[in-house]
Amino acid sequence: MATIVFNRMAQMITDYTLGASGSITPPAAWTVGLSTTAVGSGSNMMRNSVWSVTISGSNVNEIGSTTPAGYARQTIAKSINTGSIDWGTSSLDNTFSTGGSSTTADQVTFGAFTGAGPSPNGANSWAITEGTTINAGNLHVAADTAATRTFAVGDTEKVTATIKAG
Amino acid sequence: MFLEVVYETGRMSVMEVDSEAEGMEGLRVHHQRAMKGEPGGPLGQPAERIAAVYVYDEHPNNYNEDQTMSADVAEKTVAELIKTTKDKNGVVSLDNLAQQVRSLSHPMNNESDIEAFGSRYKNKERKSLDLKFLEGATS
Repeated sequence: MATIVFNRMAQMITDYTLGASGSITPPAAWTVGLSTTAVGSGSNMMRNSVWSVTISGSNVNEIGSTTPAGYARQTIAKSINTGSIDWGTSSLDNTFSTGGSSTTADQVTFGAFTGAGPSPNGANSWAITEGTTINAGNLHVAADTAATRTFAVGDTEKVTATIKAG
Repeated sequence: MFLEVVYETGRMSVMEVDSEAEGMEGLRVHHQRAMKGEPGGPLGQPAERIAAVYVYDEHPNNYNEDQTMSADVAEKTVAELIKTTKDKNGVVSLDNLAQQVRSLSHPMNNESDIEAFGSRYKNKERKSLDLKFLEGATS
């Protein structure tokens, strides 16, 4: 499963954590979106990718931009083990080369979808982002789904996000 | 419009739909699958029965996204936070105070403040749906 850390998340370390930036700051809450774009390996998504309805280059295209049909971004609270859906206690993988601290968020649910399903349909990845406007907001991380998820009426989709920093 | 759906398992989701009727259709189908023990989606996870549905005009996550407030309100709010977070020696942890200030713009309620099948969001819903529309789910 391919994953990517976008530049905005990297800036959270360089600018916000290290430099206490007042302009590069985390959102009030994280949101999770589903994308038709696969992460790929430096071709589909890039570190400087942006959400866009235009399918071109390394743009990231969100499902449901023409017809949501039950699709909306889901919230993950910016807290640890206190919000109704938020992050878990982090744990350390002490492996020198591949280790780091990781945290897993509570599972989020998309749907139930309606009608003929969202348009565009077919999720190939999920992304941690900001805000609720489809195809807008900063991208932070993304990961491929195990297979393309095509949604029909009554379907829901579950995403459990684990973030590892190392 | 947006629907906040609370499932019987305690999980929740937000849906964007054009009308209540459209949302009800998708929810009825999902609820029906749960009553029949069928999968809830392409992942194959079990469908879940629906316990509550709240209606919003905007996505309920949209709660002070600019993370701003008027200076007057900020002055009073921060003063109150200092009062409630200072210890018996009158000392305030700046990290704790900063965390408290940050959470003022947070859109979700803490888990401990949510009633069973209640809304997860601070934004007030316009109304909740009568779940009678699910009643035909087992027929």
